[in-house]
Amino acid sequence: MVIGGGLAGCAAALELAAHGADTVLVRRGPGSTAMIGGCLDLAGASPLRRGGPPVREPEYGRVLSPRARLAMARQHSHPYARAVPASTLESGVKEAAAALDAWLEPAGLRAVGGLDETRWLADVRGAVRASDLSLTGPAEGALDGAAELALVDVPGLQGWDAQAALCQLASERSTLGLERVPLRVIRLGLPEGWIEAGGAPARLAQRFESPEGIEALQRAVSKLGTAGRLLLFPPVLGLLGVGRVLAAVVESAGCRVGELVGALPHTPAGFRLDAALRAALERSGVALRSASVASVEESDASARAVVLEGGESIAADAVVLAAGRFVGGGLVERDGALREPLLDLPLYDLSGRRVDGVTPRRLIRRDYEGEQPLFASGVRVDGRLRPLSPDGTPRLANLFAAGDLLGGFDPARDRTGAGVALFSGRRAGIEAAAAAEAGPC
Amino acid sequence: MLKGYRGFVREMAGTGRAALWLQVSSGARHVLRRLLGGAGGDPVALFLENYGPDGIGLPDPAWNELQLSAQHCLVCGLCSSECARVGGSPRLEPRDAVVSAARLRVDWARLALAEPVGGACQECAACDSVCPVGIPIHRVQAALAGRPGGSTE
Amino acid sequence: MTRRFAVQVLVVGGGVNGAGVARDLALRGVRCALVERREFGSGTSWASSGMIHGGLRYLQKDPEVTLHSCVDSGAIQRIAPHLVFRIPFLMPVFPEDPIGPELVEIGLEMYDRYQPFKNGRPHTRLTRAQALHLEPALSPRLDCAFTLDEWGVDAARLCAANALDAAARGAVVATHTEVVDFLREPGSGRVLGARARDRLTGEEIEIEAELTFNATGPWSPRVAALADAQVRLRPGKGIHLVFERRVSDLAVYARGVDGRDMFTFPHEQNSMAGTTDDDFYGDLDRIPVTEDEVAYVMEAMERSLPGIRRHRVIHTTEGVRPTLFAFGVGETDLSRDYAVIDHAGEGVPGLFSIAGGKLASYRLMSEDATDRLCRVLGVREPCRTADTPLPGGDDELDVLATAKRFRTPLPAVVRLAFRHGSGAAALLEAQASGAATAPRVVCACEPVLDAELLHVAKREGVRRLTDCALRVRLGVGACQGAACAGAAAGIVGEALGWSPERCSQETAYFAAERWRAVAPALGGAQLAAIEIHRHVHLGGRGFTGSDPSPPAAASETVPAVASEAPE
Repeated sequence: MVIGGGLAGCAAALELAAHGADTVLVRRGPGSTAMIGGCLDLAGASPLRRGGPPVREPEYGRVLSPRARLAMARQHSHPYARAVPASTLESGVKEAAAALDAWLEPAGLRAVGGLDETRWLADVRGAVRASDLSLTGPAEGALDGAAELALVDVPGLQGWDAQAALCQLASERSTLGLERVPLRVIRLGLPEGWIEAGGAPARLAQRFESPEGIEALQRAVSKLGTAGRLLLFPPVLGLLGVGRVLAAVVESAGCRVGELVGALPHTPAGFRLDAALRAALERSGVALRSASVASVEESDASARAVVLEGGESIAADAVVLAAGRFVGGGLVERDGALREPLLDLPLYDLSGRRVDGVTPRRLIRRDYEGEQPLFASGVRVDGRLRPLSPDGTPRLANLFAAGDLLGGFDPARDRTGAGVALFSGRRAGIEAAAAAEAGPC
Repeated sequence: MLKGYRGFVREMAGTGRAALWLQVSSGARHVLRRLLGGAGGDPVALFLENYGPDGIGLPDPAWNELQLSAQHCLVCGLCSSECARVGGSPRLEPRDAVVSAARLRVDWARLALAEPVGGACQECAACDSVCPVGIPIHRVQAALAGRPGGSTE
Repeated sequence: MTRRFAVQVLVVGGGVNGAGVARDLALRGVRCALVERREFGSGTSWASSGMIHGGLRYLQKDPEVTLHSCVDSGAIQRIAPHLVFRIPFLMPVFPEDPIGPELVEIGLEMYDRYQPFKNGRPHTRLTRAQALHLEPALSPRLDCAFTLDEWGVDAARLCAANALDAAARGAVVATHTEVVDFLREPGSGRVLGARARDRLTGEEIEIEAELTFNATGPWSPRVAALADAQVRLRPGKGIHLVFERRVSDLAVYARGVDGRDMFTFPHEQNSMAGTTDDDFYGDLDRIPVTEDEVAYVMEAMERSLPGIRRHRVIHTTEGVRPTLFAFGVGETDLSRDYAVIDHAGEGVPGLFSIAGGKLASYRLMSEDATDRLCRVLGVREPCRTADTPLPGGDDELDVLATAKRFRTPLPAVVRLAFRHGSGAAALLEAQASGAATAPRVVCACEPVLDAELLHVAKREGVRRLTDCALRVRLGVGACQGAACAGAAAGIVGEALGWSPERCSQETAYFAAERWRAVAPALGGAQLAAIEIHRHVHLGGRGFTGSDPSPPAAASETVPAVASEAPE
């Protein structure tokens, strides 16, 4: 039984299914996984910039090599430090990335990169970041190795301003050592009326993956390809069928084509990821239930069943809790106090201070960009990812936790979010499978 | 309540002559009106007549419930993506409908606009299934698509 | 290098009083300059309830204040019909209330006599059942209820409209420009103008003026002190809670635990609840909103609207009233009267200050102050602000036709018309010419169009991205700029020639400022929104490519372009 359908929950469910467990995944809705812009960072891949202003990095993202970054993480309350033995962390993270790629591939989506493979990606504002794992679309838009960068202007598209992105990208080129790479904006010639009033990007993306859309795209890009050029589109190359659309455009243009990392209000990468994960669950025979969980029934220090809102109870030999943070509902404010709503698990912040029951606004600091205890808080787990009671013993023998629900790291600042979700999700799945195998305790 | 009246008398003594006259005359008028049986007419009807042109009408419990749910919107836009995926063509993007539903209804009524706010939505509820906070988005659309000004009635 | 110019009157402070006086002066043909330290209305005006109400509360003791407010409310409606909206108030009377229904109704009968001045409706008296019929969320403990009539206004926009109109009529207007010192005549001590510093560029400006008018609200003692003059205030802090959407279309009276009147009231897309009134002695540039204040407001609201805690609070506003000094009086009982002070009496001729007053009677106060200034200047021109429409207030916009003509979503045009009135069509026209495509929505919550951002950048003198939050309500809705700040910075930056670094800094500063407003009441459903906000602005989850910006970016000054060390 898995609670939460984001990256961590799906990873757990897919591992459980792979280990032959009869698995049910309950989710209230897509969590923050479905809102990502295209980067799935594993280890906070953001080397210090050359030239530019010094970048303030959270402690464990400060170091350059992935190995060293992981080592830093281990010294903290970071979930990566729960890898036992510690030497399994690097291989575990690498395996997790490979597993994700395998899960997504049948849906035509790939997770590209890995701990040793950092790419430079630009987003729709023209800002550049390093990413060690990214999804089809943005991954193909990696700036590395391009002899010319061409931003594709799609006039009328909401949230897309090619000129502004060009300026930003131009200013960042030098920090990437790409000063000599020419940069330009190319206007996409689409038939009149292609972009509806308002220019909603999702509508255009959907239109681009239809046969007529692909044809129009191919016609529009046919003269744009030159050797060494990288055509960078805003993220509208198909809603779900990005691989298909990309291939068609590449074929017609005859040069590299990629998408920029998305920003709200349209981040198709997360939408695609969510759909591909759901497809993977279905293929693996995981039953997906759309419902809110009301409670977890326990007896003899073990979880026995998960009760859905509405009263239905689903018996379980093991439970993985991966409901995320506030977006997912894994943490809530109830009666003015921070709580884990299902089992009232104790919560801890970065420094190991206990914070459940504390008023959220007492866990924040004035400096927006600085450390915020509230947003680094979550449950604490043992080496088998079992949430701990205040006395340091597992709360329940067969309850496991994964993903953003784990405290001790701030996903917005340290950029290990997807890595933690994948790594801990898979581990929790494997542990839960073992617990279920052992039967009711 | 008596305490209130005593305080009132004390206050009156301390105010200027204009204020005193205003208070005495209003008081007298009030007593007369109460004795003669009020201003007449249903106050609720009077209220609606007064404020109808400003877009304010009787509350609609179903609409209020919807608003309580819609207020959780994270403006993530997943609903609009899903709507596009299933080929919907609503007048208002579902995200925009949810975000500004409360205001739209008042604006529309105030301007006496004949066009419905939302609408042309198939109400397939696909958008609901991807909402991270569980807003019944298609019902917001439907509510905005009713008669001009959008009612759930 | 120092820039110099001379005017007849220098107005310091771009709140509603300063902007109002500048406009009045400009209308009377007086050459004037208006300098504002931040953005128009960014101080007390923005933090106000945004109501041009008559002040039922003042009727008992200060009927003059009520009369002025009502008469002026009528005038504001006349000159800026697009910026105002009617707010029906519901006043429940509970068994334990110290003032019984009959007395309340006498008060309302009195108030009804003032209503015609502001196009108000007479009160109605509702039984318990009728009140609950009109607002089911009311506490059923009430005895009976009354309705009365007030008006809301977009206060920040009102300030900007006055300032912009002044500029259009020849005034020199500068935002983000701070008076650092007064120019004094040696010997007599007469104020001959001021030295100001552009806080963004560091440029020094010397403005010579026959008269200097200090309209800096709560800052006025500090500004007057620069000329060794004194303004005595009893500064009172007030906060509001802002809800994600309208709790109700009606405003509802509530009573604080100490008996103070407060309300929950609709304001634009949102509802607000407040306000508090506490003596304030702290730093005016960092007014804290405490947990106590938030709890106090919530407790009061809960008594009238028991379900209020189910509603999502998205941010708070905070400001300080420049109330006239009085000793030995509770904050709430302080007079809302105002005073125009001629500092000649203190040996500082040439300097005037204004203190006290209410947003509702800003125009009347401006008229009075301008009369005083004109008397000294020998200008005989009468005041015309009561009848001369503010920009956009001259005509009504056909929103349907405008939306069709510019292929723009109707909801966006409705809001555009609210802020710009009849000017909305010209705005769309100007920005549409040359653009191949229809205007696009940038901020979905309000909504704000890219055309409007271009307009305020090119024609309204917006200088920072945060200015747009006040000027056009950019990013003050549900997502607090998570979805729009970056894109908006690109649009405004392109119009103003910002460097990419500057665009990033502006975005970061915008995010940090929103955080400052959100943090005091952070909780409940807003936690999830802020989780996303942080991902977007700090670069988590791969929303944006930007690395966290350098620490300096989130400061109030822009170091990249400042030629002098920021304060």
